[in-house]
Parts: sequence; C-alpha cells; structure tokens
Amino acid sequence: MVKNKAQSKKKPQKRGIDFKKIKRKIGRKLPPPKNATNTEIKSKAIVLPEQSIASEKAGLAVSKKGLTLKELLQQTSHHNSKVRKDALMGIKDIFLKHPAELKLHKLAVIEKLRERIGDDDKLVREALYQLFKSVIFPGCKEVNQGPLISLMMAYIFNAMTHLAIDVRLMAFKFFELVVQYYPSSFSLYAEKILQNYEDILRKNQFFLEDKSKLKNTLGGLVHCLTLLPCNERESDSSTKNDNPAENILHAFEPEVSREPSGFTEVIKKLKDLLPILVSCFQDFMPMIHTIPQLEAPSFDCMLLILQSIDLVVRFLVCGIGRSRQDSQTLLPPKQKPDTTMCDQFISLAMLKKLWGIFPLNLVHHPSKKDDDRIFMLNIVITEIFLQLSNWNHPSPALLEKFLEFIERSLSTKIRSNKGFYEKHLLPLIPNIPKLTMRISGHWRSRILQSFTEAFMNCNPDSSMKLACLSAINEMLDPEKSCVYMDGSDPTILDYQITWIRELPPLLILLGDKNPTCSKAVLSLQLRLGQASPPNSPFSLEFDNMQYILRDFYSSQTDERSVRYGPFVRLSEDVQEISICCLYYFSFMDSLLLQSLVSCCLCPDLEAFLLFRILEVLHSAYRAGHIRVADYISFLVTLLSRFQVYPEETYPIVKHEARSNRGTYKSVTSVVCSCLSQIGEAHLVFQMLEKIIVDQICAKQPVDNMCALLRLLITLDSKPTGLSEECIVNLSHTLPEYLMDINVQEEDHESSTAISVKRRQYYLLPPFFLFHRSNRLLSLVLNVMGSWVSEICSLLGTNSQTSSSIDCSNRLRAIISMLLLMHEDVKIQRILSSCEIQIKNILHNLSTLLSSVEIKLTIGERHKIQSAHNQLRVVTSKLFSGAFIT
Amino acid sequence: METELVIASSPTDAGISCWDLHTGVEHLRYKTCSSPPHGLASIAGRFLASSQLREPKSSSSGSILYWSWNKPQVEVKSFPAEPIKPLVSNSEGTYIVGGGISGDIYLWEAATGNLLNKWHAHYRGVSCLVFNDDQSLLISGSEDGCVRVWSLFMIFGGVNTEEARHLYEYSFHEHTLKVTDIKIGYGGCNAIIVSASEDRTCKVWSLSRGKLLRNIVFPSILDAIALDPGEHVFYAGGRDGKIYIAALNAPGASNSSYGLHIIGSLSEHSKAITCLASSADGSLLVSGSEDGMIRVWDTKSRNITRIFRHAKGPVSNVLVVRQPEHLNPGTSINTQASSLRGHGLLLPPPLQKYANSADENAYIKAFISPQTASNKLLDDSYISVQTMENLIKELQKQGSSAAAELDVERLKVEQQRSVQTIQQWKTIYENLHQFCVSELLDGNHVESTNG
Repeated sequence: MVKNKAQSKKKPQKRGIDFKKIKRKIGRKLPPPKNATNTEIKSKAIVLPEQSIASEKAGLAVSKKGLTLKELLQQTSHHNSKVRKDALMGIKDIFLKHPAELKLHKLAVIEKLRERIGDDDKLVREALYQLFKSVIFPGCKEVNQGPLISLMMAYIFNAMTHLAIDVRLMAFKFFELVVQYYPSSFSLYAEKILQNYEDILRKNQFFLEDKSKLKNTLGGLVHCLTLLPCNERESDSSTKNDNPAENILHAFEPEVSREPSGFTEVIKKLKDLLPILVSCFQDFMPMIHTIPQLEAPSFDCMLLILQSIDLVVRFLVCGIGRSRQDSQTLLPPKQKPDTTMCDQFISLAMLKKLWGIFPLNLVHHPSKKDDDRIFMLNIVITEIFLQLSNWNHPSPALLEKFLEFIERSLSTKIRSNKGFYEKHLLPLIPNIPKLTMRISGHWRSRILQSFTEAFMNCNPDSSMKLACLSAINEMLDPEKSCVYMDGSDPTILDYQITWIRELPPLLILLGDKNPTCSKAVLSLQLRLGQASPPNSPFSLEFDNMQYILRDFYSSQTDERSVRYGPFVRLSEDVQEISICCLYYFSFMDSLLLQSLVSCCLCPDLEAFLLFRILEVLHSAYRAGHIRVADYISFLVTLLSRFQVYPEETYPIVKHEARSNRGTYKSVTSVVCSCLSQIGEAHLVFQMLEKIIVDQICAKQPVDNMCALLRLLITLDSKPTGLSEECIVNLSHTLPEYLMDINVQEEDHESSTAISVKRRQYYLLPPFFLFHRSNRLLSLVLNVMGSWVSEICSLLGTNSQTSSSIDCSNRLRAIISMLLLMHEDVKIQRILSSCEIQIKNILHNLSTLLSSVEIKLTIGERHKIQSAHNQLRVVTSKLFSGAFIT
Repeated sequence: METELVIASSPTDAGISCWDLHTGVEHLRYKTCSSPPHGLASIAGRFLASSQLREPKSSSSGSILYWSWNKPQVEVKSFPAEPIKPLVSNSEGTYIVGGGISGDIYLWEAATGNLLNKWHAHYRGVSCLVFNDDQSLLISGSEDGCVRVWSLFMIFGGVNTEEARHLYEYSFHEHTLKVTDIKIGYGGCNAIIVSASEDRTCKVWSLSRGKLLRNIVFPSILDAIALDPGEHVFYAGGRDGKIYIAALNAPGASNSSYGLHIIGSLSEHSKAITCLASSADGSLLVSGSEDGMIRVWDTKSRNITRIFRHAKGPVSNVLVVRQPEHLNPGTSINTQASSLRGHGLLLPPPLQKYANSADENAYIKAFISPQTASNKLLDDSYISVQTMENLIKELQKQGSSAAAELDVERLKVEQQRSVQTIQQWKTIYENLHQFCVSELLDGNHVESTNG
C-alpha cells in the first residue's frame, strides 16, 4: 500500500519540477527561503486528499482490481452481464484473501447475491455457483444456518419456476449445493422441492437430447432422496452408536421429533414422482434396443433414475414397516390405523412397467463393459423388487424371473473382475434372509445354494464377506427368524451347517489383518454358542469348531517351538469375544486347552487377558465343560512353565524393563484359589499331590518353584497329608531351592525393603511345609549337613582356588539359611527337635576351621568363621546351653 | 424403625441363619438347606422357601423346601420336574417363580401349589429372576448371557399372545457370559434394570425404551449387585472381594482408579463377594462372602458395622426382610392362629410337578391383588378361584337336598290352584260356547222365519 502511494505521488511532482527547471533557466537563482519548504510540504498534503480513492481504501479489503466489497455488491446488479460476472469474481477474490470479511458481512452478502440465482446469463450463474461452492458455504459451516437457508430458498424456488429451462436446472444445482452443506434444509422444504422435480422431469423429452443436464438434475434428486429416513437398520445403528456411557441415566430426552411432521404430504408427492421416473426410464428403452453401444451419459441417467426409484421405494416400504410396528406395540389390534397403512401402501403394480422390461439385455453383441453396465442396472431393479416384495406377494412368474436372476448373479464363480461384482451384489445380500423365508420348495434351496457359493467364493477381506456374515447371523439367530432354528426343513439345516463349518477356517484365514471381519465371525460364533439348544445339530457343530480353532490360539510346530495364532495379535475386544466363546463349548478338548496354555504363556499376552482366560475357564469348569484332569493339568502347566522376567536380567531389550513377576504372583494366587475351589480339599490334595511334587522335583526356576510350593501348601492341611515318598522327594529339592533364594539375594547385594519382602515371599511356603511336617525339616537339614561335610572334605583335598571361593560361598549360604530359619519363631520351635543335624553341621564346620591345610584365603576364612560363630551363639541359646564344641 | 432381618443360606448344608440387622440378635437357624445363588426367598414374609442344590446323580427332579418362621425343621417339600436354581415370589406372595437348569421358568400359585404356567425362557439355565416394583413384569437372566423381560399379562395369555412372535417383551443379549445378578429400580415401566455378568461388566438398561443405557466395566467378575434405594449408586460385589460403588446419576468421571463410573470400593480383604442386599432405607449394605462371613456396611462411612458368621463354607444368599409380626418373641403364635386349622401357621401344599390339564386351569387369569399388609396370616388372606368355584358348587348341592321338599310342597299347592283355575276357565268357556251357539241358532232361525 505504502509503496503504491509513493509511486502515485511521484508523477505529478515530476511535472512540477520540470516546470520549475524551465523557470530557473530564465531567471536568477534565488536562495530558498525557510518557508518555501513548508509550502512544499503543504502541497503534499493537498495532493493526498485529491487521490481520495486510494486513501479511503487504506483500511478496507479490496479485490485485485482495487474495488471494495460494497462496490462489488453494487456491481452485481449491473445491467452488463460481464460486469456482473466480474463483480462476482471480485467478491470471490476478496473472500479468499480476507476470510474475516465473509464472517462479518455474511448475511448482507447473501442477501444481495441471491438475486443472481435467477440471472439470465449463464456465465453469471456459473460464477455465482462457484462462488457459493468454493468460498461462501465452506466458510459459513459452523454458523447458525437457519436464516441463511431461508434467505436462499426463496430465490431458489423462484428460479425453479423460471421460464428458461437452464435457469431452472441451475436452481436445482444450487439447491443441491445447499443440501450438501445443510442437510436439514431438505426436510424443511421437501414437499416443495419434490413438486419442482416432478415438474421438471415431466419435460423429459427435452432432456433426451442433453443427457448431461438430466444427469445433473437426477444426481440432485438422488442426493435429496438419500436424506429421507429410509433405512431401518441405519436408524437403529445411529441410535446405538451414541455412546451409552456418555448419557446421564435419568436425564430427560431431548425433545427432538424423530419423524418430521409433514410426512404424509411427502409420501403423496413421492408417489406422484414414481410413475414419472418410471416413464423417464422407459424413454431410454428404445435406445437400448437400437443403439449397438450403451453410451456413458445415458447409462448414468438410467442408473440415477433407478437409484431414485429405489430410494423412494425404500422410504415408502420403511414407512409401512414403521406403521406396522407402531400398531403392534402401541395400539390394541382393533384400532390399528388402517389409514396410515393405506397411505403408505405401495403395491407392486405401481411399477409394473419396470418389471416388464426386466431383465435388461442388449440386443446387439454387447462388449464386456456394456455387460457390466446392464448388470448394474438389473441389480438395482432387483433390489427395488425385493424391497417391495417384502410387503406384497408377487405373482409366481414374476418372482421366478427375479429369483433366476439372483441365483445366476450370486453363483457365477469365475469372473474377470470379482471386485466389481461383489461391490454391486452387496445390496442384495441383506435381502436374502427375508427372501428365503418367503419362498419355499426348490427355489429356497437354489437361492441358499447360490448364496452359500457367493459366501464361500468372495474374498475374505471384502465387505461382501461381512455382508454375508450378517445375513448368516440373521439366518442362524433364532430370535431374528423363528423359522430357521427349528430344523424342520432339512435343506436349510444343511446349509446352516455348511456356514457354521466355514467359520473357523475363515477366522484363521483372516488372521489379524481384518479385525472387523474377525469380530463379526466371533460374534456370530458367540451367538451360536449362546443360542444353540443342547444336543442339537447346532451345538454339535459348535463343539466341533474347537478342533480347528486350536490354531487360532497357537499351534505346536515341533517339540520346542510354538507358533502363536492370530489371537495374540488381535485387538482387545476381539480377544475378549473369542475368550467368551470358550465358555459355551459343552466340552473342551485337551488339545484346545494345550494350545490355550501355550497362548497364555506367550510373553506378549496382556496380563488382563490371561486373567480373563483363567476366569472363563473356571466358569466353564464349574459348568462341567472341562474334565477335572484337563483343568488341573492346564493350571499346573501354566504355573510351572510361566517364564518370569525379573527386571534386572533381561531388562531393556525385551520387555521395556517391566517385570512380570507381579503378574505371576497374582496368577499364582488365582490358580491356588481355582484349584482349592474344585472340590473337597483332601480329595483335591490327593489328586494333585503327586503331580505338584513331581513338578517341583523337575528343577524349576525359583519363581515357579515358589508358586508350586504355594499351591501345595494351599491344598495341604495342618498336619501334612504328604506321603512319605513325596516328603523324601521334596527333601532332595528343597535345600537347592533354599540355596537358590540365598544366591539370588546375594546377587543383588541389596538388603532393601523390597528384597527382604521378596525373600519372605519365597521362604514362606517351605517354612509352612516345615511347620506342618517336622520330618521334612529334619530330612532337609540332613541333606544340608551332608553338603557341609562334602564341601569340607572337598576343601580339605582340592587345591584349586577357584572352586574354593565357590565352596565357601555355599557354606555361608547354608549358614545364613539356618540363621533365617532360626529367625522365624515357629520354625525355631521345631528346630529344637533337630538338634542332632544342626550339631552335626556345626561340628563339621568347626573341624574345617580348625584344620590347617584347607585352601582358603584369609578373608573367606574370616567370613565363614564369623558366620559360624553367629550360628553357634544362636543355637547355643536354642538348646539352652547343652552345646558342646 | 422397623426391625429388619438378615437371612442367609449357603450352598453347603449349613441351614438358614437369621439375625436382627440392627441389634445383631440371632434368631432361629433353619435346618437342612443348601441353596444355589438366588435360591432363597421369603414368600411375602409368610414363610421361607428355598430351592435346593442336589447331586446330579441322585434324581432328575429338583427340590424346593418351605420353612415356617417359627420352626427350624423343613415343613413342606416339593419336587419340581427339574432342578430349580433361582426362586422368587411377588411381593404379595401370590406366585412363586422358579428358573430351571434347562432354561424353563415355572410359575406356581403359592396358595394351592398349582403349576400355572411353564415356558421355555432361555437357551441355557436360568440364573436369576426378579419382579419389578409393581409386580407386573418378571426379569430373568440366564447362563447364556441373555436378559429377558416378561410381562405376566402375556404369560397368562393376554390379548395378543397369538399374534406376537415371542412371549418376551425385551431380550437383551449384550452380555457375553452368564448373567449373575439383576436388580431393578423403582418407577414402574420407567425403571432401570441393572445386570451383572461374568464378563466383568454391569449394564444398565432402560425398561421403557428397551435399550442399553450404560455399560460399566469392572476389574473383576461380579456375582452380586445391590441398588441404592435412591438410585444414586449401585454396589457390585466382585470375585476379588471388593464391593465396587458405581455411580448411576453422575456423568462419567474417568479419573477413578477402577474405571469409568466406578467411584469407589468397600473392601476388607475377604474372599469373593457372593451376594449383596441393601436395607430398606439404604443406610446399610449386607454382603455375603465366600469365606462364610456376612458383613454389614455403613454405606455413608463405608465401614463395617457388624459381622455375622454363617458357616464355614461360602454364603450363597443374603436377604434383608421385614420382621414378620409373629416372629416377635413374646407373641404366642399358636393361640393367635385360627382354631380351624388345628395348629399354628399352615403352610400351603407342595408345588406341583406338572401343570394341570387345560380345562382345570381355565379359570386362571392374571390377577394381582391390591397391596395389603404382607404380614397377614395365611388362613384369612387367600382363596383361589378354584376353591371358590368348588365352594359354590358345594353350596348348590347342599341347597338342592334341603330345599327340594319345600319346593315340592310349594309346587303341589300351585298345581292345585292352577287346576282350579283351569276348571273355572273351562266352565266359563263352555257357558260362553253354549250361549254363542244358541244365539247363532236363534238368529238363523229368526232370519229364516223373517226371510
């Protein structure tokens, strides 16, 4: 701006200077007086107001041509069409540069611009359309729409009844634009709009020449019609979608009338529209029969016409359904509102002409592309027919015609472009359940057969598969279709079983790539499990699923390695459903449990899911679906194989420094409580005693040992029920375990509160055992004693120093363990009964220390000496002075 | 304050214990009862009934036992066609409803023991049953995770039974696993239903709109719920031994440590909570646990106020009922009872195994009596349609034998009188006839003479 001013100033100045120069040449040179400069400045000030246009615009937004919004708006009603158009372009320019301007003057601008909707010049209208489309509507999205729409609509309606057909068409285009941005506007003006469409479509012969115009109009109509609340399912899902968690329970419902009030008028209008659309469609017929090739524009028109018929029919049919529903729930049968039913009733006869021309066929040799196009049209007609035939009973011949088409299109196996067909067959699929329910005899099985083929052949990732699944769901769920589950018709039963058998392989095939489809399969499976009556073919099939489902969880490739199935990688809600399915198997195969347990042992599995699996299996066990032996082996395997990652050993790389020790602790307690609940305590103990002791003797890591010991003590009673054999076995492994605990603690070299707590956790189960069985303690002490003497002799003879450190460590570990035992009050009491063993140990130690030739460093020796002394002091107290060195 | 009783039973054979909720005094302990969850019911405060867990091998039929309030022994035993798990009665004690393990629901008339209706309600065993507050709807939960709402009107063959595709009003199957408990709020058809399930969720349903209002995920499996009478919160007892408090009114507060809508918990490191009951004013919450203890919590302070010890084994049922009048120590029951029945409170006859034939049940219609004091004794309160019918017939019979003679007498007199009148009429007629004939003859005669 500033620059501009400077430039504009220059020109007049130069001229003045030139003039002056001439003067100078003539006259003398005057010394410039002081005030001369002042006049010059003043002259500047005079110059500025003269160029008023530039200065006024300083604060205002201007277009490229330097015009303000106000001027441009004035120009929009200029008599010259070119000026009008330029003005519109200028406005667009301003708004693009200064979006704030639009917000400020929105209503004023629209008020002025709307006059141009009915403009005579085509280019002006086009420019206006572009202006609205690209700038104004996107800019006014969030603001209050009411006044805006009502401002526009008056002029749009005006233009719709304009004499010039082009203006009318443009008006429809404008309306479409409005609806695009403010969908609610259609329901407000539906009646009037439909009337206008009807009028314009009546003049269809005019359009046959210019199909692109017709296409535009029809596109608008289709768009409007999609806004009719026509699909029951959609409205259902929309109510479900609003998250229930967000609602306040006892709050009042917002008083939104769900159904616009003027429905009856709209229905009447729509019914008037139908025959016009049909005749419009018929006008294309001769062309199909004569022209060798179906050109794109006319095909588009035909498709759009059919689509609008479909939408109208859908809406009307849905209306019937709605009124029936209402009458069923709200009113006693005598007062059923016949009026509304008649009002919305639509008979097959209304579209008789349409049925007459079905199926469409090209007479001349059709190319591949034409074939596809005709197929699309036929599908839409079929769809319309299916919609209608839900409420009417079509004549057998007519029905057969359509059934044949459906069968043929569904079951065609090899197609060059599968995706195309699947996409267009999609709308037919949801109608299959209702259709098969209505027809009978051999047609039923033929349709089901072709449906089954379509289901099997389609791509597992495709939306066709999903649609098929939901159709199957409808045909299997006894609540949705009373006909199906009773199994009275053997043909249906056969197909149902085929579908059920297809589910588990599909699930495995899907893997983790398509969670929505996996979820649909699993939900269907769950529903099947819930609803299948016991000992029916369905429950049998459901039970048989588990043989294949094994691989869904995990599969054993060979002895060592396990391949995890898709289950581990799927999202949490899908996993949850699949776990719930497990409960409904009336018996669970041990192999399935095996694959489950290896799945549970997967380190990537969320702890939460692990507990869910345990819970569900426990419920299943309680319901008698799992054999005791299988259940026990599941739980014991889980405990003994679980890999605990302490935070220090494998920290960063694998598990983000997160130890699963806490998880394992809770798993242990859950397993303990599960096993203690499975029956009479002593019986369970008898069953499990051997298994657990065997597992303990099989040299497990410390954590697993601890868990198994804990399990043992939960099941055992106060005077121990362990058999002699088990006690002897335990006495061989327990000392090792006790040493391991010590070693682990030594490794950490920290006696923090946490490690003390953990040591207590580890020590508690063996101490419990000792408390319950004194014999076990004495045996353990015996073993320890023998170790001491072994080490002593080893130290006495061997000359290697490296092992001597090891030996001394072991010795110290034994001593500290004895001290720990002594700290425990209850064990202390029992220890007094094992005087001989302890004395034996002490004796060995003292001889070792007193002997001269042992190879120990002085430090080591001192450590052992001090530990020994400590032990001696403690034990001397214990045996009340009866201690002899 | 009315005295309230805590009644508890367990699945092991530990009987039914009974305490005063506020004083802690223990009352009678009723013997031999091993009830499944939701299997204990107080029939309108008149007597106790419980379904029994039985060894599956022993017999295919189930068993339901009755105890009267003042005797520890079982008084009436009935053996329905299959093992019954949940048992409930409406608040007037007109009907007893039981849910079988096959998914059938049985509906008996309490006073006569007639099996009024039996219908296949669920695909798997029924796990819990509850009546709504105006006793017109029955809500049942099942092992297949389904919650269904039944209208008694439909069950008894209301108007459009034939037209409807299904008997139930609503069928919710959003739960994926067994439904463990259902509670219903106040407000007739606008009430909310809260259901708990083994899938770790509680779901709140709207009875009027038939849709899910809220889904609350808990950290553990829930076995019991109790609804606060003000319906601000509900309590959910988990298998982890905690009682979670979930908000019903407030919009979701996600900052809680347990999850959305859960505002806190009561816990005492006990074993799994198996059952919950709330006192009438909502100030006390009674919980039964797997460890055999019954804890009474103050809901305001969230502390335990009292602990009852029921048995070694788990507790399966806890009820809070108003104390029946005749259980008060001091009031002698036997003198109060009517002399007609011979002794004390007579319990109704056992429940029938099978339904009567159709014509016998022809009189049975849905009938819900107006609310009366539930403490009324049995003898004067209830007469079924059938007994009335029988009485009427009997009356008619008696009447005919006695009044026949009178009737004959009366008829004889009447007959005599009518015979007399006939005679009179006859003579009058004959006289008239005579007169007419003679008149005619005379007339002719006169005419002929004239002519």
